Amino acid sequence: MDVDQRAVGNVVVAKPLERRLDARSAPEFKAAMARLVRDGHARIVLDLSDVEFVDSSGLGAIVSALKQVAGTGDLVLCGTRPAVMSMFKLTRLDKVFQMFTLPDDAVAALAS
Amino acid sequence: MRTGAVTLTIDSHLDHVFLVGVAVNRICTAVDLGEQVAGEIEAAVVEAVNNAIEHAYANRPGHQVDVCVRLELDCVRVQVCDDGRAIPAETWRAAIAEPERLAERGRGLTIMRGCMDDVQYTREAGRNVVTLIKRIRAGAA
Repeated sequence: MDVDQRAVGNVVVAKPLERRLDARSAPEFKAAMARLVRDGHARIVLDLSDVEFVDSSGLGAIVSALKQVAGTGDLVLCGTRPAVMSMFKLTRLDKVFQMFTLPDDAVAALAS
Repeated sequence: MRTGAVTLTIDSHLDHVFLVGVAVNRICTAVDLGEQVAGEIEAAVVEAVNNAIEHAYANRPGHQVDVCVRLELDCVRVQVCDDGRAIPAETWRAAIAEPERLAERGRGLTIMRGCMDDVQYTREAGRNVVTLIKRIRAGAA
């Protein structure tokens, strides 16, 4: 799975270029996020605007990414579509992640 | 709502689960259930099929997962069936509990139950059968 990366100051915006973040794509996504953290990025905006469907494996992979930056930085979300947001709400993960509509707002929150 | 039934069969490989997910979603939007309801049914079906592949078949390809979609007058009834190992009753009960806040697994049944009105697991003629029911409000479709 391709994850587009864009650095804005000390924040990196990571955007999975995949419509479905599911049991099939989650392992690759998890590995891509782990590489990002290994490369020294600790402040990450995860831009989910291309993701139309997420399942429990996809949610687990996003939680995994959050845990990897915990203590050193943070991971916030932006661009969550309604169907994806409803999965976060259903599993109460909407209480775990800070969410923004626009990437710029998410970057500003992390940079400050 | 128009009624009818169709059975979709995939091989037990996670690469193929999206095929039934997308098909079920399209069937539901075709009978005017709306995007949200169709998305919820898709999400529940995907979790049930993932479970069949990952747990009942222990991720071994070459086995069959059947997804029977039945449009009834007042509900959509989906049955996900496999011939893999049975799920112990205590495992099913434990899976109902909400996982820890930062757990990376264990949200499948939460999603199924949150998206559907009824979720049941039965063992029928040596098969695992997960029945997912979404009731349709009168006049909704």
